[in-house]
Amino acid sequence: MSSLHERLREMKARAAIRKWEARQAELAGGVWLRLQLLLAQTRRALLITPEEANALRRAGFEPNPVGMQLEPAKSLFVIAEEIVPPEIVGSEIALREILRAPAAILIPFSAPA
Amino acid sequence: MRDALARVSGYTPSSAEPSVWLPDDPRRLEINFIGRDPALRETADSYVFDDSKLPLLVFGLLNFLREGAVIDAGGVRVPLPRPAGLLIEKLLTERSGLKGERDLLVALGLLMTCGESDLAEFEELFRKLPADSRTMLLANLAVLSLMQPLPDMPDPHRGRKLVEAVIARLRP
Repeated sequence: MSSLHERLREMKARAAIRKWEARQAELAGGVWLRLQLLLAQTRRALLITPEEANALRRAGFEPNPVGMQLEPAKSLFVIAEEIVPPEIVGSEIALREILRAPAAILIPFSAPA
Repeated sequence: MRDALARVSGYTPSSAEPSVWLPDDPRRLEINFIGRDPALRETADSYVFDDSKLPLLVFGLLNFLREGAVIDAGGVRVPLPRPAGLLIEKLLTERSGLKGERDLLVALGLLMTCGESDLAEFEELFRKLPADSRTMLLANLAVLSLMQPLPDMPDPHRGRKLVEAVIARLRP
């Protein structure tokens, strides 16, 4: 019987933590959730150099605020594949590796609104 | 319920988990008993039903389940839950480790078989959830989208576009 009580205690503890995390969604502590949601809408990612990130800024692209809220800040540009400037080559990077990238292009499944 | 249990033969309660009954014959499936209480709404409401014959966990989120299609399994009519409520339950129940991952992949399998009316019902249920539950559900969908595949389970890589479309539908 004690195993059921122990399972229940653990389940409620996990739920309480997730509830706390959910309440942080719009605050600094919610940055991981916002990053996860950003990556969930990303079909593929390209690692780019700081020079390429600067070139994108000069071309009028703005990095997503989520990347700028991380420490150290990351320049994550959400750009539809067809409008990535041809001079930006980049190299494919797995989404799970994105935290290693100081700058990247995130290509969404559908064009950003 | 006790009368019905008394007629079950060929099974014995697991010593580690008394709400799970294990078959004597390996060709049979194990039986996992769970409790439902119409007064409950969320995980925090869950409790242990202490009973000498069948102690079990009563889960608050099971109240999202609604009876759906009935299948015939070897002459036994088995009512299945409607996909929308089951999706809510799978995406909000906080299970840990491998079981938690498998639950999310079960949710993916459900999404893959949902029709438009199921998704509309899912969206309707989602909109009625408290704000923190909506956020938790979206977070779990995002985790599902980024998961690595597990053997014999729906492939989360193949399901990413579908999950993204569902997130886009649910987000404010």
